[in-house]
Amino acid sequence: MPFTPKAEPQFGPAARNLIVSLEGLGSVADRAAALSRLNRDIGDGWFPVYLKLLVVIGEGAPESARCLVADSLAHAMQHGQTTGGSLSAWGIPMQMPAALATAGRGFLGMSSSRSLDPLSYLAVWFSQSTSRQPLAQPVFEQATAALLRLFAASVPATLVFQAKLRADLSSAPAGTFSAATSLRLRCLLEGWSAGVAVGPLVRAVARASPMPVTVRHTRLGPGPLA
Amino acid sequence: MSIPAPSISLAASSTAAAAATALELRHDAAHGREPVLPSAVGPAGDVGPASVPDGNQMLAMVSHFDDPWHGDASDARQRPVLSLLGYG
Repeated sequence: MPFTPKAEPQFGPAARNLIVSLEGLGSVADRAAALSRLNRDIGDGWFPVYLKLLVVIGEGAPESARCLVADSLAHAMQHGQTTGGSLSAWGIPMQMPAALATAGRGFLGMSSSRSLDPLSYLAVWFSQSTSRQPLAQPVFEQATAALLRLFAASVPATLVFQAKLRADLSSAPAGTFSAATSLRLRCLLEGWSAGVAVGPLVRAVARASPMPVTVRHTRLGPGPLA
Repeated sequence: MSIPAPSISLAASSTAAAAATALELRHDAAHGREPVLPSAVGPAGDVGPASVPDGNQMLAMVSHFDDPWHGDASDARQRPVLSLLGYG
């Protein structure tokens, strides 16, 4: 039976138990593997549940606990383990057969198999049409801020996830990110790298939008019937 | 992509080992050393509710981190992570 969330998941106790269990593991490699396993067990369909767990930790856990989790995420990212989720394009159910989903996503201009790290996932969810209900701006800001606070507890996590964003922005296949997503991720990366405070940074990221298209109106001369 | 590999130093918690056992972390023989969080977590016969919040609502839920180091004798303390979140 695939994972199905409860109507009222106990995120606080789950976050606490996750941290305590990670502390019981002997190495950062084991902790990264356990986090990746949890990520996979929850699955792409309910990746927001995993995200919320990270958000709760980023918002409220002691710095040592945030460091533990962020270090583990960085290690997982460096070693190619699962540290994210996939979003399907609007109208494509998560359970659609792979071949159909691939064709559909290609048609809609979205990469079929690219896994998005937590920050990119939030940016795509907020900025692009996907199969999910659009992410509300306050929720986007709150979740992004919590992840930044989580990563801030670990130098490796900060460096690794900044490098991941930089690499994605320079090499992601065409169609992976819309213009708005790219702009927001670039804004996020620049502000984050420059040490901008989290609050103002996420507000600026949410408000960033591509330059409006200038429509030049050409006044036509009187037609033959004028 | 060139990703730096900084050294990572983590302090072990004195409370960790017992708690990890309580959370049913186990080593999966089929996967060598990979520590495994249990995937079958719901009570036998448990099924999910008819309707659950969507991902957006889930992310927007108000939920606070519970401090693990100040006496909590609740049932939740002994339960696997996945079982606190859902059915699987």
